Amino acid sequence: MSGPTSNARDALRRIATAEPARPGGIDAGANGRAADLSAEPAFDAAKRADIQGNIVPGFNKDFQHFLFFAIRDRARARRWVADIADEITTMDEALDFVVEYRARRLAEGVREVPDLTATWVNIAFSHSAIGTLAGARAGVFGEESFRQGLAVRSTYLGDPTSPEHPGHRDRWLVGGPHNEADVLVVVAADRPDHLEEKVAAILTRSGDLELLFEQRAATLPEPLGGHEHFGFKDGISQPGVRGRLPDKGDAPITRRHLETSGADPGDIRPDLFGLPGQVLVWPGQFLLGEPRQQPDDLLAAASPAEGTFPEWAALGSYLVCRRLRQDVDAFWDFAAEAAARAGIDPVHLASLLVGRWPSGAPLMRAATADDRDLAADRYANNHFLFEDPTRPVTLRPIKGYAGDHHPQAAGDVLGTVCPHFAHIRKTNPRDAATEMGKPQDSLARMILRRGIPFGPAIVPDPDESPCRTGEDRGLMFLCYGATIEDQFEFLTRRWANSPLQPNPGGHDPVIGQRDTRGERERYIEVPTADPPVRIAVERDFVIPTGGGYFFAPPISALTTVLGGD
Amino acid sequence: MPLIEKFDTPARLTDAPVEPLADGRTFYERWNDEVAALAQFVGGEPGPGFPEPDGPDGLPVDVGPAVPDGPDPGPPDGRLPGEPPPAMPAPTVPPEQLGAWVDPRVVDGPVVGTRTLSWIGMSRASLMVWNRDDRAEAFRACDNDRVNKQPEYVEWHATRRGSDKKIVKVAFTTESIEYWQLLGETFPDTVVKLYQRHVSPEVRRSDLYFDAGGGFEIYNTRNRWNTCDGIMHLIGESPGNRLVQILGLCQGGTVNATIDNYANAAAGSAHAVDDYTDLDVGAVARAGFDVAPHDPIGLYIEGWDDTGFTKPDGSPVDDYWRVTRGTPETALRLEYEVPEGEGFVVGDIRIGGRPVEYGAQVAEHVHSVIRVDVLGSRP
Repeated sequence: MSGPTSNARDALRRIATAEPARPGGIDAGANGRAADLSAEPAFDAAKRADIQGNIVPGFNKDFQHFLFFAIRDRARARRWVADIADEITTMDEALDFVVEYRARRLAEGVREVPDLTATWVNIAFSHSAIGTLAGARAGVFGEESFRQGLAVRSTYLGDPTSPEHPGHRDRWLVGGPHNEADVLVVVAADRPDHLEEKVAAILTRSGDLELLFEQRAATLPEPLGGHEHFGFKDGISQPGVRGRLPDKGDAPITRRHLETSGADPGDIRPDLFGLPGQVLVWPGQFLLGEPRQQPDDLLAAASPAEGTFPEWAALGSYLVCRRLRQDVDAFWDFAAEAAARAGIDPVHLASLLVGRWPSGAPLMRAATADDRDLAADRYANNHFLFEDPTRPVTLRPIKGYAGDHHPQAAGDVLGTVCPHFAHIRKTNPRDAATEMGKPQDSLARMILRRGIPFGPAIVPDPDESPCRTGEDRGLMFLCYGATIEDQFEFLTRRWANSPLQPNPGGHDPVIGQRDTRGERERYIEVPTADPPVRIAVERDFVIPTGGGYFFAPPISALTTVLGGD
Repeated sequence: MPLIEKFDTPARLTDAPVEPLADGRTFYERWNDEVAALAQFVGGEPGPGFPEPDGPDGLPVDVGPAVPDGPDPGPPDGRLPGEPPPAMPAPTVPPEQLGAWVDPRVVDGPVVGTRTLSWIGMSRASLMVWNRDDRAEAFRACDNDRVNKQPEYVEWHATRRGSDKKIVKVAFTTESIEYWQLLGETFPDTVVKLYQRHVSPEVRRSDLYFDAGGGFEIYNTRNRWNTCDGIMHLIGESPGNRLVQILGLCQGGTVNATIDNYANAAAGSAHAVDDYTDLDVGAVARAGFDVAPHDPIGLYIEGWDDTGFTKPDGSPVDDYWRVTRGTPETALRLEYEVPEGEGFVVGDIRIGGRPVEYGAQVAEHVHSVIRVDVLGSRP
């Protein structure tokens, strides 16, 4: 491939043209049943119809559009909310689609089902908007970060304090002190024309609100589908939500794949994981009013939070939105320089920053080279511990699956394989003890990520324009949780932004920020040498350019507390 | 050649004179012997421990108003109250695979690296267990009950002034009670001078010592200048912020044979320090590495973070941290105070947009650490 070169372009070309994975079996999804789901909360049809579908199971669509509105007239806004309520996609609808899609894939022996499509909509409100719309019925939200809003919390998250910095909140496209959004509407579709249609229809009906900002987003084109703009496969590891569907034979919300019969009674992993490595978390960590994680126990539930949200808000979830611009040139320039100092290949160095190879294969199971077959194996690509050697697990029978024959992860307590600063080790320390104590606590920090890239891909680039790498591109980061401070903010400030936590070794080089009176330099301690090499990270690769703290309410609230005449 | 010749004082403090004591040993030789006994190395004998720190009647002089304990955190293994223990023990690694807790005055390495064990300064139990849904109450309770609610081996005292009782200073310490008991026993004049320098010039010897009769006096670790009117060293009793205990946690980690931390589902405590130390050292030992305390042995303060702290005008704060005992790398005493002339005090600062009403809010952004050396061969 000819054309202008740069570290970024060279790296992305390598990633895009790497040998594809060998096709594996289609996941027949043995609808695994856990040993006992009776303790997990029931999500019947009525309940599922009240929960917004992007929370659970998540939209996971290739084309999305984000509409940020301001409310100018309360009465008109309430009518608008009641009107749009019919459009809102429920957990029930989204789950049914996923089940149908999976069944079609199995029946037809394909990975994609192009003729099975859907277009979905979800909605969320700022604290200020809830007060405006609901008036006296709003009640009190105990989550102080939500009440304050993202702009007020910005520097606490490590965002720039200097107004000259492009990531300073005064420069945000939306969500800054002077352009905070009241309403966020998320539209998602399998086809771009369907997305356009739905967005146009919503905008036509939204004349009574002021559109502050809108953002189109899409997964990157193949062969980088599912990757983010630095070139790395994203979203591999998500928590599984506990819960069962009583009207569907008590099927679990998150399928259980580990064999329980004959298992060692002392082995808790069949009760802890859905897919191997997919930790099961009580739904109250994401949905208000549900049983939540007991922070000193891996398996047990704690009673729902009391008195921290209004009654009408049960089954809602806080939505954190951050528009993050990615400086792809800066990332790969750093990777090249640091690789030269550390004496390794730039893609390997970049993989140390992330904790996975660009394909998604974890360093813990592929220490020296990318392994696309491993990356493509959903029963293996997330099955690893960090501290101790990972023991194999026994899976329930899965049609077409030959088994996990990839090398198991050896223990890496010293962080020489996957450094302590690596993004995935920072934000999900797994079995490691952390500054908060035992790994049980880490389950209470987990978030449901629903982000998607925005902006043009650098590769493939038919124009080969040297200016392309400087275009506006990045990640629309979205996550849901039952708290903002103990989950999203905790992960950001206490772990990603700290060189010591959850374990010492440097800042998260991908998303970590530092701003000490305007000084933003971070560092990593690269373990490839003895002693490790400390390398300064002088530039930000990820720059905040907008967002907000929102609340995605139960759907019923849209025609009662928040909407209507 | 051994890693070290003898155990030095925390942060290599030279508070005590070098002249020999009545038994012919120097303060520093006695400290070396006491630490060796506290540390309970492999093959060593358990030490006699230090005498109880309380006054003659077993009660502190004045530790301020007590608040009721938080809700029962449950059995120490993390189960819900009343929940039966697991049916089967977790799988384990063979004991011969475990690294040992070793004496750096005896072993000679090789040292693979120095590992910093670092945990949150604010009580994790208060934030996540006792007051999980009420952070304001967590902060208030921790400030008001130092003995029971500051268990993470760093304690603090918030000095308040003015009719509005705004905080003007928050002082943190990780100095061990054992060090101060020895200093108190051997060099009372030094103790008084240190209190006068770091806590208040009003401190008198009679404030710090009990008259035990017969010309003997006993240093009172819970004197008013180390409790309600200031802070000099650790006193916490829940479970006990003592050097012997943190070293015991490290030692205990090396006998934790559970095959991995997920299998160790019954990890014991709601406090960050206990499980962090036990599990992290345990993981190192299971990998076959020996572990030695890193000299100078002590608990230190590290990782103080004022990101998002703002002045009343909304601009970022300047650097108001001062290490007043120890060094920046081995900080024993850390004070957060706005210099005179700035026109505002600590209580006027906002953290993430929230006014500072309790010292615990600052403690949340401070970490307590102990370091260990990892010995063996790199993989």
